[in-house]
Amino acid sequence: MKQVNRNVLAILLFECLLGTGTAEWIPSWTEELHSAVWALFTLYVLLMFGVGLLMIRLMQSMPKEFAGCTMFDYFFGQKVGAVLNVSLIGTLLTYTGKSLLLGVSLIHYAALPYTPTVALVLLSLFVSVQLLSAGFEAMLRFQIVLFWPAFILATILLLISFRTSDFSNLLPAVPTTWKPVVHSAPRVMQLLPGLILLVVYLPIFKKFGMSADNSNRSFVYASIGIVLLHALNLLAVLAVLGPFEASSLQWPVLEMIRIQKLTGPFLERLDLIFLLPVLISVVSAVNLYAYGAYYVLSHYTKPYQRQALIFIFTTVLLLTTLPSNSERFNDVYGVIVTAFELMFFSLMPFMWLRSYMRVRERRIAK
Amino acid sequence: MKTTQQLLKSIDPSFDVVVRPIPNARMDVVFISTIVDLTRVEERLLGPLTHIPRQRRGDVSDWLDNTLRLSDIKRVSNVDDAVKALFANYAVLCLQREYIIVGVQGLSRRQPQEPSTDIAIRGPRDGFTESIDTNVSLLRTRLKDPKLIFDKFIIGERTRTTVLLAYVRDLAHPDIVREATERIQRVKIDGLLENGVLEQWIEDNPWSPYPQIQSTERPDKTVAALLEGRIAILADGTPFVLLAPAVMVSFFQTTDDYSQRWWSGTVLRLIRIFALMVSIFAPSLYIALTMYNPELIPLTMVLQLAATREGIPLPIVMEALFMELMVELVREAGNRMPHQMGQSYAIVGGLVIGNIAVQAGIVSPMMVIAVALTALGAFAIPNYEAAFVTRMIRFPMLMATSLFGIIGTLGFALILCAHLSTLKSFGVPYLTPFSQMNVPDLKDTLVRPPVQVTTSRPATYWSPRSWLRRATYRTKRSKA
Repeated sequence: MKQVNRNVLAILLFECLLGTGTAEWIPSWTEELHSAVWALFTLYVLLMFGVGLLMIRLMQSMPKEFAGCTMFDYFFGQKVGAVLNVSLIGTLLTYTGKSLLLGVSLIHYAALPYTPTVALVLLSLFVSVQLLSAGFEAMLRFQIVLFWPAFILATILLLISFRTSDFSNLLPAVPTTWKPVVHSAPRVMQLLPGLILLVVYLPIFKKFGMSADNSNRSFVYASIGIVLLHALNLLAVLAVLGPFEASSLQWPVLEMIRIQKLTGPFLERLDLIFLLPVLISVVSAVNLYAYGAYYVLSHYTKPYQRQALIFIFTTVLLLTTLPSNSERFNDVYGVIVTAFELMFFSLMPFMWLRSYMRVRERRIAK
Repeated sequence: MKTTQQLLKSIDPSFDVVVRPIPNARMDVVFISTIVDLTRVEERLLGPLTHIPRQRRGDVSDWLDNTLRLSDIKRVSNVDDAVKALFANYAVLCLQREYIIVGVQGLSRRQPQEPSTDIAIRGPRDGFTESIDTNVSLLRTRLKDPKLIFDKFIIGERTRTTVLLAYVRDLAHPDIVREATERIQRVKIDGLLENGVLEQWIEDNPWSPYPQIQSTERPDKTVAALLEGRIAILADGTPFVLLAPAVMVSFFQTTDDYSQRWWSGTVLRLIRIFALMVSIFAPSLYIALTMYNPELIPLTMVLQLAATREGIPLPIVMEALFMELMVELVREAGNRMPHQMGQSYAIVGGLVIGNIAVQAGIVSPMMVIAVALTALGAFAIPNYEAAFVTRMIRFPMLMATSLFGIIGTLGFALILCAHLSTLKSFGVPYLTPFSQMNVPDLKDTLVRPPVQVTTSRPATYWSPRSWLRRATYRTKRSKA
């Protein structure tokens, strides 16, 4: 049975697009737009579908075998590709550190306020190191096996939280003026770093012989899934907490689950249960980004792959444990990632042009 | 006789090495009296030889071929081969220039009995025995397919144990058969007394606590595995047969799942999965909720739990570890005792120790309940090795929980899941088919659907004819 198939690709793409799943973008969005966030959300959906489908198309124009490891290598050549790959490694490692810091601060906030950061980071990295050293397929297996339990549990808990919802909180759904929407448009980038990962993972799937049809279908399923999940998050937070409370909380989804009181005989609150799927998605994000960085780095350090692994491990450990003020560094890391995202999006038209010209050259040659 | 002298020189003298000269035929018969069937030797070998006609004295080998009513006769010229045959229950006829080896195996063996580990409520009652011939016959009588192959290996420089690799030629994946053959051939050891040793030599990751090869005492289970495209490894002297590749799900499937109606089978399987979860997580969750996050439990229950723990000097983690160790101690002692005493000891030991521990104020009644649930959960897992690992991983999980609360439980579970993701059994990922999300293969995993739905052979074990059965079945149905 093939480890790489279209279901696996769909789940992997979903996890790439999801990121940490901590929904820390909701306060930032509702702060300026209040309940009228849906216009921004539509912009996010359009951008994600547009860029994602373009990347799938670019992937299809690539040959199954090429001398490189990312899409940059194919579209920009080896030298420029190497420069972009190095900055990609930096970005992926930064996002790994950011994800870990988010996960740790979430644990500190919800369960263990006094546990040292380094202990929690090491606990998480122990998972990643095992998977990275075992290879791509082992990482895929881990991601796939945990996907459905975490997804189902999270969705059930989100649906349960509608018990205390007030749907009048959703109004006004349309902004009265479009100026704040335009002003807050750059915040869409908070939800799009997952697209960077496709630069690494799509060529891997291409090498495994994933067909164009299956890639398209997987991306569409993953995108629909992620849009529905984000929409459910947003809808639940707005309906239960209201836009003003949502904008003042760091973890609005967690708080929303926390206020749900059960009258059952064994459990009274559900927030720690909700922490389980969230932490699974944080660990998944860490794995995906760390493996992306490791894959690109090991392409250049062959055959010294163990050294590449040690470098990745040490860098992530330093990025997460050295900062004295994790919140501030989290913002700094966010800026680095957004800067790379912007650069990446600006490169997209060039990549598309290269792809178009190569296809044309091939046609003329025929 | 020169050949006889050479043969005897190659072995150390022993009380049971018998040399019977046959003067009429100028030959000697050498055998080991303790491992051959003496009746067969006397009636079918020595009897005819003493009546050898005079004119045949010169060359008797052809005459022997035609006269002896024994099917297993071979000629060897090498003294080493003759020695090996002598210790493999053969009688050796030492002629002037060659040896003839005659199969006269006669060691009495246990008859097939109901397996002691793989118990089925509704299913065949015969199990494998220590005799490899009996085991092969049990398989052959169930699977009358000419494509059932047995490849023979001799393992152990000194024990020279016969090992058979069984598979159905057009169902087992050739790569898996080739890999198994290579791994078995690579085993160079002095002796093989039990195929648990062989299992450790040929498994993919010897450092993992998880079994990567399934063992069974049941011929019906083995045949079912062969029909799924798996391979079976039989060794002489052990009633356990190894089945490979083994994935995690295969350790939770039993004969009863299939012999009963689908919903009974499904309920049984779900109970087993629940048992696994309880066994792994019950004490850890109890500690996490009472020690770190009591705010999650309703107030009345917290007060009740606090009341039961009143006056207990041990921290809750030590309490759990103490009780878990006690349970393991009782279980191990029960295993080592004679069967008649073992069960009674386990019950009495468990009840008495639990009761006295509560009365003495060392542990709380809730902890006894949690640990008892854990033990029951582990015993509901059908495979011994899988159950043992489940019990053992509780200890590091308890430690992780005591350090990090519910985050420790989750963290350790994720580490375990990552480890399982890296495991393979003969190239087949251990978490198959969950890790591929291939819907047709997920049918017979957590639930056991009706047999009409599961007519397809799962691709889990890479069987090259994965979908053939379903196609045939559908064609037949549509024709009907």
